[in-house]
Amino acid sequence: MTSRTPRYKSGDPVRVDDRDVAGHCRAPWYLRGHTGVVVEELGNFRDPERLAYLRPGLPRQILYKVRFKQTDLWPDYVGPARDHLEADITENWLEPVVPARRKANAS
Amino acid sequence: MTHTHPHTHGHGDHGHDHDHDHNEPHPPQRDHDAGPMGVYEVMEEAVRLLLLEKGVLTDAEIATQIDLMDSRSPALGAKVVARAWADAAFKQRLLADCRTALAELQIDIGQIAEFKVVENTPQTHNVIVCTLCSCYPKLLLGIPPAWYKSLGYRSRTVVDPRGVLAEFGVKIPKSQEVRVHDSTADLRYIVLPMRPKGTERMSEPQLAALVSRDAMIGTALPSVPRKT
Amino acid sequence: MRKTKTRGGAQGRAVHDVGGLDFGAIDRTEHDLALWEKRVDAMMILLYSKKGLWTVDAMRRTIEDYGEQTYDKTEYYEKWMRAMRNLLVEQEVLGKSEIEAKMAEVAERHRKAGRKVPSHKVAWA
Repeated sequence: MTSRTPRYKSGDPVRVDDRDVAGHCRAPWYLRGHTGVVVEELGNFRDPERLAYLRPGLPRQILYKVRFKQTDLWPDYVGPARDHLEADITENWLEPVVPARRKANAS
Repeated sequence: MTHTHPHTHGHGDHGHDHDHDHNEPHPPQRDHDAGPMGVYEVMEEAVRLLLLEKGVLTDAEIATQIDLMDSRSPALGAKVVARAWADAAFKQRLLADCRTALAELQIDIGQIAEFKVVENTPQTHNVIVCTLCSCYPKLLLGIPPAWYKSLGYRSRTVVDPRGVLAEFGVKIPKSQEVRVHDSTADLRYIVLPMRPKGTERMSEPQLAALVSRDAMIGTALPSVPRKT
Repeated sequence: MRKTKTRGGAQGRAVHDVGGLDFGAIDRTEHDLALWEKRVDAMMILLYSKKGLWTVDAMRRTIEDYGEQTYDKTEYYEKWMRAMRNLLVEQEVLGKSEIEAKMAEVAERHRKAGRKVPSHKVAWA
């Protein structure tokens, strides 16, 4: 198995894809469409969406620990803004977040 | 661990009547073999007998696997925590590469998952959940408690961790971050609690006695030693 | 008790995907596992890790295919046992009829020994 180069590195903002899936997957519903930050690359693992149907789980997926601000996930979160949630998400569920281009100061 | 009647679990079909036959003579079997069976208990016996008949599994394999799981327990996890508290170099190895550090203590975590230790600090309190199933570091801590697998814990810990922790009697000040880890993939998480103050002269076994299972899930703090 | 979008399986939130919902207070009653539950744990792990008959994710997929009612009403090792039965049939290790026949035989033996044994069947799903 050739090892692929990770698409993301620690510190990169990423969004969890908001797609629907018919079968087994490990990207939780409550994170889909939400933006977090990669805090660690965790190595590569066989793809659970294929392993679930007894296929070999290839290509292997690079796994990332992604950190989300709780106040971003839940509009009515009761704890302080410093609280976070981390989840482990495979690369095929992540998309890059392009920082919003600053609007020119022209009035 | 509290020890209660085994029939309080796993029989959604017939309720939880502990006292069903206390006035009846017991047949000459172990106590828990005398009560009513659940349909899944019947299924277990039937499937097991078929697998044994066909040579798919052997009694010895099943017994060995049960013994393996029985050998993993919160006490084993507490030993690891105590070593990390007592030995800073070990702690660094444990945080960097849990599998290898546990192997130093002759703990084999198998091939199903990787383990990762997250460290509590004055700034951050960690708590572990698995919202999608009930992933848990079984090959260190043993079988998880029922509440860890409950829909209540799995659903609420991600959205209201401070509320859940308060139900467990743990109040985290707002000045400290609460960091929830949802075990969604191939890693199993263990919390390394903070070493309580006043434990500087304690031996590793004394330290281990302060560490509960829940402290390694993040739903409890280590016991504070009594002043002597 | 389930708040927000209901779980629909093919579209939307799946039955097992409960993060952020509200199932109310957590029952912290503890109990040791019954012997049959320890056996389910052991057999399941042996069948997928040592025997390679399926994968952890195949077990999860099987459990996730239960309807919402079954998922919510069954205990942990009941879910595992049902998944083991279904996967053994899916992988053609055992047949449905031989499992049902053996269950009837086991139930009858325990009934004769004086135990109460339920007579209903567990649906094939």
